[in-house]
Amino acid sequence: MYYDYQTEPRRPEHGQPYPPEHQNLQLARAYVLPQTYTKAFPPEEALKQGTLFPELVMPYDKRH
Amino acid sequence: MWIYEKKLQYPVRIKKPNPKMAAAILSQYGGPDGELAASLRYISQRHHMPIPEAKGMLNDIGTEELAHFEMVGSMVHQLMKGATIDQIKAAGVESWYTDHDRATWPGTGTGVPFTASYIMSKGDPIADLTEDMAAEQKARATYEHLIDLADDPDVIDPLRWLREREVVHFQRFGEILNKLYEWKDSKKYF
Ligand SMILES: [Fe+2]
Repeated sequence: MYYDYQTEPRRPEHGQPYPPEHQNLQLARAYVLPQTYTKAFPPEEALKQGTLFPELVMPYDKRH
Repeated sequence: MWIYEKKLQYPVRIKKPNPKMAAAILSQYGGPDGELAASLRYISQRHHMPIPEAKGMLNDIGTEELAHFEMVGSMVHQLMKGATIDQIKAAGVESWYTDHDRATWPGTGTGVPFTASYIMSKGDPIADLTEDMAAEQKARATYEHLIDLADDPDVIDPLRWLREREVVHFQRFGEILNKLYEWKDSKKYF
């Protein structure tokens, strides 16, 4: 039930360069895509998820 | 200054003692990529940040890491509390019992004490934020290792939650790094 709200994180198309070339980035710098507000969890769900923002939910699969 | 709220940021309710898991989790209390290191790193670096957004973010996240330090301490305490001598021996954590009884202590489960050598405050905002982003990735990876080792859902749930916070912090520090480059570039034109 935790992941009902999950949306796909934005990712470049498969086989496309990473990060996308058109963004005019400079060499020898690290970049993170700035988050733009789209939607938010209700407060109860945000507490459970650990974030207010569905696009930042990136769960981990436990190794056995 | 700080205002203390007498509750955990996210609930920790572990019913079953597990000294082996306590020893593993202690690393996130006082170990190299633990919450104490994170908090002291960010709260120290805050002072020399050139833009208010960076000061504010380091202070906010440094404060939150202290709340995580408290959560991880509660996890360790609940995992040790009620452990029998036989359970402590079976878990192989006799040296913990020798030095601390069942107490929570800022170090690793193998007895390495906390040290400021785990962190840096370089005075170069770009270098410092880049370290902070690496620190969040290392904390995330550590939580993943701990989730791999854990079986008890009451242990896994707060670990999952703490890991997610590291993902969010990485995003926030990345946004601050972008702003620091903007600030650095803007200075070139005066
Ligand atoms: Fe963090």
